[in-house]
Amino acid sequence: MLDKKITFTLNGKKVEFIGDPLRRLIDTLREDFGLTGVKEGCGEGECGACSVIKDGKLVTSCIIPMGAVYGADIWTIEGIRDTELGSTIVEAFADGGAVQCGFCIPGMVLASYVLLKEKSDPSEEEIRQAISGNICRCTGYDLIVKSIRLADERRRGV
Amino acid sequence: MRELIRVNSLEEALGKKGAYLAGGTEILRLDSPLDKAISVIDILPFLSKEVEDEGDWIRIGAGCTFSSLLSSALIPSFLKEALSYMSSPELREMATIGGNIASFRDDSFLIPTLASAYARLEVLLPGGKECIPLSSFKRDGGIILSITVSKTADVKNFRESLTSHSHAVVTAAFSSECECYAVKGSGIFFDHDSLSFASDMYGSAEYKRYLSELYRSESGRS
Repeated sequence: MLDKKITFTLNGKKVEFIGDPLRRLIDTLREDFGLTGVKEGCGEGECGACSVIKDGKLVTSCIIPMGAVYGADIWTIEGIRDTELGSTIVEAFADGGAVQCGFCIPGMVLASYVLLKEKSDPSEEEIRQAISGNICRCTGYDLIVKSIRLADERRRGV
Repeated sequence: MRELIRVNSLEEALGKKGAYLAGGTEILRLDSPLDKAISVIDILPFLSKEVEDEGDWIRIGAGCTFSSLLSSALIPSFLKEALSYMSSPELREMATIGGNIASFRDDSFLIPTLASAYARLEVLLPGGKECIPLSSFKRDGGIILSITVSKTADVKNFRESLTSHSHAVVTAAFSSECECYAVKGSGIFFDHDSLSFASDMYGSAEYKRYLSELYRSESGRS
């Protein structure tokens, strides 16, 4: 069976894609759905700027063919930022001075979201491990790590 | 337009012409030989994601992702070391062990380690299932169903890359009876005598030869 129509859930809404199943997910998100919070960095899955959440897992959308998205549940920064945990992380990043140029931040927020969804009170090593696939060329990571800890403390009411 | 082919079984997939889609990390990678494939055949739903304990051996389903194997208590430490060579957690969530072998990359994360752990592959071919040593596997040589690996092999891993996220120049692994090298720009070699080296942007042939000999020496081989 040949299949050119790919249906999936995007930020909580059912959507449909008709086209090249080898088109990159990042291109579809940015160009077809206007979700420009998804950034392209290396283009080969190593820098994490294009991170999205697929079926609860953090993945890099620049190497995912649309064919692999069939039936998946995809979340981008645009869908996450207004959730309770997402907005807590975004505010903590702003208050903690985690953002300089901002290019890596959507991926960093999503990596933080996946970590904090799964774990309460993560250690510094666990935080650094969780964002190890997201490369930042500005901050030196320390303020990002502190901001993730701040977000965790705030959501726990510490 | 390129096509995505959905099939009802792996046997049906064998009869189609195109690139197999498993974890999906290789299909769009720069320089990937699969990048220009006209048709992509989705086989992931039919690949086993189970790890089974078989005494001194473990059987790993070809659809297991790197991250699932890293979190499995059944996976021996030498294989977890090789799995962690894929440094990005995002990639580890997607990449499958079967796909990593099938892509047969010259900077393979896993093939040297698996070969040194006496890995055997269960492969689906047009004539039926076959069990073959990893060293006999060739790209496009059927669909890998499972990988059986010794848990008790004394495997030593070596890898040299510029950064943790870079392609490796040389990846090598050694056990008491096996050795295997993945040499960037040259290929995968299952014995020392067949090694060859080529200069490219990752390093000179002499540099790669030096690393291979150094690793061999550090593993205890002369």
